Amino acid sequence: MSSAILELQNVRKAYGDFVAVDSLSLAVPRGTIFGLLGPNGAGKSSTIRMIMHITMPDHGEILFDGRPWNEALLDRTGYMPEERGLYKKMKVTELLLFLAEIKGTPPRKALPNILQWLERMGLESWKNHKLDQLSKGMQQKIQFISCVAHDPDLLILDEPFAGLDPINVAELKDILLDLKNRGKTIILSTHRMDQAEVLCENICLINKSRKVLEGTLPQIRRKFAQNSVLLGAEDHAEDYLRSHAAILKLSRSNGSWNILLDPSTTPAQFLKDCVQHFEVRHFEIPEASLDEIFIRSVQEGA
Amino acid sequence: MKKIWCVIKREYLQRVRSRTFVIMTALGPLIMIGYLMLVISLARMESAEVRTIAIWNPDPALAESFSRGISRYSRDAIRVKKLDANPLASEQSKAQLFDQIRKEKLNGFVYIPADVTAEGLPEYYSTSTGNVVQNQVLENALNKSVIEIRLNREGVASGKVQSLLKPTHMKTVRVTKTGTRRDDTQAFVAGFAFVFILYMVILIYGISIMRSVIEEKSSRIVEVILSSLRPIQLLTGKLLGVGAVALTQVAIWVTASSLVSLYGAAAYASLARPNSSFQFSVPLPLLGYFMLFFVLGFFLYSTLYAAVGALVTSEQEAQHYQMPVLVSIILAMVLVNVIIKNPNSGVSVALSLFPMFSPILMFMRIVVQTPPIWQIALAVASMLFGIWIALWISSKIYRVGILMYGKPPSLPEVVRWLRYA
Repeated sequence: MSSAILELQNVRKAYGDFVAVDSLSLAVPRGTIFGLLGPNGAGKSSTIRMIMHITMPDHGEILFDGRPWNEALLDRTGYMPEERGLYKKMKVTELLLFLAEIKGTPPRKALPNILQWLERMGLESWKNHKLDQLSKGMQQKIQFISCVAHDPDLLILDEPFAGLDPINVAELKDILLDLKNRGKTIILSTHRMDQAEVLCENICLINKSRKVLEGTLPQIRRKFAQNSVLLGAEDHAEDYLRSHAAILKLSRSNGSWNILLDPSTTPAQFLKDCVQHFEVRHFEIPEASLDEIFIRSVQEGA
Repeated sequence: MKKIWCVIKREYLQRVRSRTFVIMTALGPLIMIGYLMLVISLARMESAEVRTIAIWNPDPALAESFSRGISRYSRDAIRVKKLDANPLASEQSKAQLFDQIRKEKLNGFVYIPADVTAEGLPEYYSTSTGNVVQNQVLENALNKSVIEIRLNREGVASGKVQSLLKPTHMKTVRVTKTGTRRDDTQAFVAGFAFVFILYMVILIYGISIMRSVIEEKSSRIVEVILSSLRPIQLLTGKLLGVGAVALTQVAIWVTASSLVSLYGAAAYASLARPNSSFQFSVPLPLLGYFMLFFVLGFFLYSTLYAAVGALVTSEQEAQHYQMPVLVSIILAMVLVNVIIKNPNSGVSVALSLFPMFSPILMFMRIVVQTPPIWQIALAVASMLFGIWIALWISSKIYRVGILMYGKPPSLPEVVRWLRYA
């Protein structure tokens, strides 16, 4: 069994003349949270629809557990589409049982799960209400339960945090981390980088139907880390800094200097130089935020 | 297969438990009963309302006999006022008479010329000449009186005239291929009622399937469902589930309406022909054919309606796109006339074998006059073929259309879907 639960190989999907996804390859490691990131219209939802077998790729292959996709595998996945949808006239428990049943989980097996999830989400008193009596936030929680009630191995969530208040966002984050710890794999599609940064080990950034970046978060950060340092020191250090040959850019903000170094030197070498000339109060190698990486990659691509 | 079963179960239970279904199922026969009672009570009310009609005739014997006839035929619902002078003789009295009619002091006036037993043409003036029943009463009474006078002149004794004029009624009996006989009118009435139910239910449930496809599309649940099963499974489950609901409702209605008809027939019998033994019974084979044609017609039309639902995003758009389907079934109902007039003509046979018309027209032919069994078999085969074609088209349109939002596609686009989907 390969370590990747899901693999896309050179997948392409076009709608008429419009190419939604172009030669996309990626591997989702088992038991991790995988961020599928990209600006609006990048091809995230089209990719997810192909993974969920709702549409077929024009060419390329999608492998699940190293095997080509087949229908039985649908039962091992849970899917929350970006456009939420539920049968508004059904009762909460009935609907959840139905959605679990078409995932191949019989009611007697699904019911305990559903009740447990309803309790965890604080919705147990609503279980016999019709969905149109629930608030939007509650409906969103029900939608989430419908993805997990059949205990899937792979969870695909398209913008799961959209429309949730901060308390519910925090709650959902906890739940996702909890599911990951129980060995589930989660694919998270979002354009909210701050959330991806907290949750995802691996990310794949796509823009304009093509993959721009893929890898673990530290790998990507390293790739995007520039030779820059943040230095805290007395004002009189400025004379020395101005004279230092390896500094390309120097600016001061909030009592610290932002310094961009020449590739010929390293931050460690630079620190040694500094210590010899003045007292260093603070020294930091800042990491590029995912937000920055996102913006830079998208802009470079454009 | 198990997934299709889940969809069937959901569609069936959701619909059967819905308030609309309960109300419609209960209200259907109630509306039928109500309608029947209204018709019967209106008929009674009308006969209870006494109308006055003036007559004038130079021959007092004829006038007397005519007025007695009117009373008898109308069961005293029409009072007769004999005029001494002919008001039509002068313009002034004519105007006076018409004025009385207009003011509804008089409901009508019958002028009978002196030579009515020969060439003379009687005239009837009234504000309500459209009252066919009343016209019939007057004409029958007058006819009888005139014949009576003629017979009298020929020397037939008055006492004998009544027995000579006693009318006879004809009982219509149908000879079928299998040699069994049954009363045609009853079967025809029941048959036509069935054709109408067939038409109504096919239409109501077809539109209902279309609505539910549109609703799944617009509520976006369809994407969630399609992450668990194939579009064709959803379509099949929906058709079978709603079909089962329709069968349930029709079974309830047929049972109820049989009881209603029984009551109706009894009421009709007591009102119109006290002596006739009008018994209502639906022949069992007809019921079997009804179920067969209902199931086939339902699947044919519902499959097409599902495709229409997948094409559009709202019911307003659907109004436009459902026209071809709607026109087919309405046309079938219109063509029922052709079948009734000449059920075995070449045109009738051809029409009843066309798959879109077969559910209604072949069934109507079975009601009117049992067609050869090979034609029935051919119609069933043609409908099965039609269903197969409809499923082929719909499943393709459905697969593409169900995830398509925004402007509905044009005809060339739909054709492209069929070729590439």
